[in-house]
Amino acid sequence: MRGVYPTGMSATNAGVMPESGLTYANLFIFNARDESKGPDGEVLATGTNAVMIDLNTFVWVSRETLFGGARFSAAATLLVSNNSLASDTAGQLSAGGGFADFYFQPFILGWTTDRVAIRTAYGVLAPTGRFNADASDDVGSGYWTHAPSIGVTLLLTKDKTTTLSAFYMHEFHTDAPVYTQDRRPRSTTP
Amino acid sequence: MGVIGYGQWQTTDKTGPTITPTQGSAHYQVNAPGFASNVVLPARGVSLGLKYFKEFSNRSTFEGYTLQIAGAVTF
Repeated sequence: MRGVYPTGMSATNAGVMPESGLTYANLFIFNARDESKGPDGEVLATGTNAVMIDLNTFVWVSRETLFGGARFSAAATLLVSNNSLASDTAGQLSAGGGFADFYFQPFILGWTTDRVAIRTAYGVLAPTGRFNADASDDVGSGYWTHAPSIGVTLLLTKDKTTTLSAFYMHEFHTDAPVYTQDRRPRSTTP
Repeated sequence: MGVIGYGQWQTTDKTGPTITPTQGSAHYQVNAPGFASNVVLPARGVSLGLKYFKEFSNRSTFEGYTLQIAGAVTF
């Protein structure tokens, strides 16, 4: 298990806001993993884990500026996912595909100067993707994620061709639903 | 073009009715260097990008690589 953020997604231009107006962005991610590691880095199992995610993001950025020259922005991301997990010893363990969770960033502020760009955001991942703790074809996480983040990009040259970026996001997860045998969700309180 | 990377660290225990204390306290850790290439066409409001990461020394999770292809257009 990992967090829900597709790692590396904001590795470049982390602090940069799109131009004012409406932007459509498409990001295709292919994750391939072949080892399961233990707490000390030991190999617990080998197999094949392939995850394909297509993120369709619509970003709106204001033309006006708020305090400190910040531009306000909001974004919505529709995710389509396909995943497969197979063990070398146990065979196929799970596979699923379809619309995954819905990622919404209702509050984004971005500051841009000649040499630095900063982007702060609050995002929420809604568990709209199919999820059942007992199933083997899940495409959703099954829980809500609240994700504040900040990205900074230093424009090292005047023509903006050389940059240095850093991005930090912290995820807060709610509990996943637990199902009774007849598949109706029940309380998650332990 | 340039060098990139990511790290991911679980900071709190995992909890749930079916999670054992050992599973709950096993925090995952991910490390991955990589490279990226971006092309920006400001006049057309278009940008394209390619990223590749290879993970190493992970803890309590899977390990592998990631390929990302990005495109954006501003209207």
